[in-house]
Amino acid sequence: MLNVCVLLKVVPTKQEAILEKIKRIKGVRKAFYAYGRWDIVAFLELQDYKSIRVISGEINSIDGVRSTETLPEA
Amino acid sequence: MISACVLIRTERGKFAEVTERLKQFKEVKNVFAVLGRYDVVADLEAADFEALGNVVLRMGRIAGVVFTETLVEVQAKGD
Repeated sequence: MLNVCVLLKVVPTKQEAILEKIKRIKGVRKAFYAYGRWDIVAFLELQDYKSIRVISGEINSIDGVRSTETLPEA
Repeated sequence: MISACVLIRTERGKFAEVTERLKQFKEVKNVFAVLGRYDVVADLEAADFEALGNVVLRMGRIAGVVFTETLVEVQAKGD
């Protein structure tokens, strides 16, 4: 299993809907709003690097997500 | 319980040592070396803000750690 940390900047009015959607994504172990430079932090456990690309694309396409930074386990 | 994500940069080549050292903190639920702008990421859980602050300060003093950025969970009522 590969750990992944995804950091998101989102449109404030949509943050609740976004967090709900992220929590429902398979592999998401933890997701929360955060203080600081990023609005939402998500920790995921995924099969392989390919599924990281798929899930990262899925997260990026959620309405209201401005930008993300994906940190896959080395 | 309050969660936090700690983004860490280490001295060159020290990420394995730092990761092992961080595993010894009971508040560190998960820690792993990463690819990208940071070297190590830690998933923390602490009883409250004060405990969280203490553990982050202790983490910052670990040999090899040169930078940390802590993203603390926003806990709204009813969470």
